[in-house]
Amino acid sequence: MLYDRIEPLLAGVSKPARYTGGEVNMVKKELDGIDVRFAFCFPDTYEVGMSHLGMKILYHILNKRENFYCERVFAPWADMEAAMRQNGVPLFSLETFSPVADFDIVGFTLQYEMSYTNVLNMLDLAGIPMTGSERDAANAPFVVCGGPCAFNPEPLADFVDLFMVGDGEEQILELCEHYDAWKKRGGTREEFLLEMANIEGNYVPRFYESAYDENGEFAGVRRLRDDVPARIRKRCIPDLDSADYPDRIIVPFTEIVHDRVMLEVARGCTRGCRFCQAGMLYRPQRERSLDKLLELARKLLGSTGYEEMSLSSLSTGDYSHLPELARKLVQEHGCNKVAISLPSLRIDSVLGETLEQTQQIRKTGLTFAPEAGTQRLRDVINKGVTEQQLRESVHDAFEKGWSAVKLYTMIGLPTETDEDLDGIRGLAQAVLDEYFSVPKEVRQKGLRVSVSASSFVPKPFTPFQWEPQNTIEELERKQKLLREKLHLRSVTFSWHEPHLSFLEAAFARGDRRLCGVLLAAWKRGCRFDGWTEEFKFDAWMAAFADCGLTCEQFAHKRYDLDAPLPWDHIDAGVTKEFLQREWKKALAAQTSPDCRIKCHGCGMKQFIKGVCKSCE
Amino acid sequence: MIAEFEKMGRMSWFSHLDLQNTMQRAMRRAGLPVRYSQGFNPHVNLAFATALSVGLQSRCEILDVELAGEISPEEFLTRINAVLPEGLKCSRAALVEDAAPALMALMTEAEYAVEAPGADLSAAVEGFLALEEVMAEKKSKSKTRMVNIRPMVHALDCAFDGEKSVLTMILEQTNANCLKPELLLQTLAPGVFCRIVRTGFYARKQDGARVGLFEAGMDKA
Ligand code: SF4
Repeated sequence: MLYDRIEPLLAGVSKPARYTGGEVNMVKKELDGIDVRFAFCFPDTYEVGMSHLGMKILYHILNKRENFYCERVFAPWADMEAAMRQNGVPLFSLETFSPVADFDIVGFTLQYEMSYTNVLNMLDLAGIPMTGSERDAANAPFVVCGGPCAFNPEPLADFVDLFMVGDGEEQILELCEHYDAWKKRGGTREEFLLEMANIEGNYVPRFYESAYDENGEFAGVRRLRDDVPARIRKRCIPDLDSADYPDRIIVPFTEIVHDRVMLEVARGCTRGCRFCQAGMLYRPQRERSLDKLLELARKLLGSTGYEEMSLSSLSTGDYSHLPELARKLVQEHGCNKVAISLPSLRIDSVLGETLEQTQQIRKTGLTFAPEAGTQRLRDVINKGVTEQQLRESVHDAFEKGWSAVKLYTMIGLPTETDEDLDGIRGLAQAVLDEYFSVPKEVRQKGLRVSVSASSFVPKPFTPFQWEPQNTIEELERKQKLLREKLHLRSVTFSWHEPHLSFLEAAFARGDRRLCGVLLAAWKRGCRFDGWTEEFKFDAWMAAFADCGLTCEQFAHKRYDLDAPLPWDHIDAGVTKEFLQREWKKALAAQTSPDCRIKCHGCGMKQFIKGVCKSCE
Repeated sequence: MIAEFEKMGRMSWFSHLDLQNTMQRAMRRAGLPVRYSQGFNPHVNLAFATALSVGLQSRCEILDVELAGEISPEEFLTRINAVLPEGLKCSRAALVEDAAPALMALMTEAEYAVEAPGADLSAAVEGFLALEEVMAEKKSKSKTRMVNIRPMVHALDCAFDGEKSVLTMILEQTNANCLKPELLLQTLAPGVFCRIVRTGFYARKQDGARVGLFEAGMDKA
């Protein structure tokens, strides 16, 4: 058993409980009766991966099938990786300590671009060849990927057999069922992949190729054979209540990033913020019913013993029955010392009643995401909130005993000027003013306002997908300016590393040529790029040079509105015409109100019938 | 209620703080009538006789939990064991008053069983036992100092069966002074991989005879 070889390494590494599994509600099965073994790989640490809701859902769905066994695999931290390599211990699963190469299917979830080198590194640690043809020759596991980054699969296309685009609940089961049948029936690997390529939501990159024009510009992705679809439609579950949701989840021993029960109240968002990729990818918005959520909450709290629960979705404040849900959850579970937190509150959410409900239990920090400092720029990005709304919300919160407020903002947005940065200071000042306008006896002591500024990254399937990113110099200048402006009492300012955002921009919108860059960067020792202490910017720049490319040519590129885009062969449901319309409105600072109020014809109504309730 | 429990195999790799959370959540899953601390962030009133280093296994840890309602030790054991993961298991329980601080004060020694695969440590053990003074670097939170660990070793023997060494040791473990088995092993055989299992806690009777700590705690009740 592999554990005997892992055990001696553990005393010498940090946080050994990352590598030992055995948690409450971990699924145990006898390998004898298993037809399909699925290694669910999260290309980051245990603490990050275990906090991810999608993994919990798919783990549950696969393991409900008696003859499928889904196990978890995480990226070992540098110290553990070194120990494993030194002692010849391959990448292993936490459920049975099996080598990942022994599985039938190895699946990665792609949550952010900066985890791609970890995908390569994990394949290498597993001893699985990196390319499809090598894997075919070695009869190695199939490598599949899903998650939001699968909507622009090209930068990983050389290394992956199959991308699964969209909601994964049905798709992952179909994959295992087809695999099971194929394995029993016998046939070539190519036959299996061809079969998969013809199921909705599946992209098999080996059946497609990328073209470039004489100037080296991307010229489109083309089919290599006509028995595969020209465009890949994303999968979409129309009714969340009918989709499986876990009633028990693994309870880690060691603290993870989101260490609580997460109740997914809705998927998708109707707001249409123009920088937000998730808001476009997960359209149309779908909600779970109140009864279903109450039932799930009961079961999950009972099976985990967790003392905290959060309601999760892109915009929890928009959930139709939020006040009622919050009230009932507090009534039912408050006496058992369960804290219910609402993390992604938005400025204009129905705060009042809910705030009063949650404060009975625990006052977690309030977060607001105005994103931009002036009304003009908020109109450009379609963040439909006003300073007045922010003032009212925080005032209300301060009266009810909150004293910590976080403001999320973004710099480098299209059309941004220094005046907009002034506006961010203005918002921070507004929060301070509201706090001091609440009588001393009423407000809580210890005001803390933290302002954070991330750098805008243009993402596929958003109205800003054609826009270039600001240069690093420009982003740094803006950060410095903001830092000076935000020298206010009780206000702290934090910002993102712009070099990282620069790379993220290249990989978010890049084409297949980035596969070579990725491989070169991995060879130069890049991994855990999302972790500041591990990020090796120079190695990345050298990797681009190795391939005769630059990061600028991707990150700073302005695409023509009608130019072919590397993700054009993926159909996310929202149409290009809609995105172009939104882009034009953005430049004119015209807003598109919440599509529960008015449908903007994004294409989802045609894509999937009868789900957009408000526009029918 | 005090309970003796084991923390074996994979369970040996999470920390004392993690153990606290794990036990608290287990008690919540089991629906046990436990008492919570007051205030902002309520916690189950739960204490342990002593911490166990990460990486060590144990068959004899002792927890003390404050109850808010009546429950028999048998019922407690059935309900908690039904929800604990493999490797954590309560072996016995008893109702006592305010046990944890009292237990800490009674504790005199801890016993360990050690397995060192592929290494013969018998000569090292013999050599160690022949000495009167063995200095080793003892680290505490703030400082590192050299101490004579030999007097803190109350019993030590080793058997090598051709494949592995099996050691048993009884080491000093009081509030004021304690010798960790890792430190002794490092001194005996630096760099050798060892599996360490804590197998017992002891107190002393008035006549000086050793008695199990759990029994001593029950006697006090
Ligand atoms: S079709 Fe209309 S209502 Fe539906 S998601 Fe698109 S804009 Fe919103």
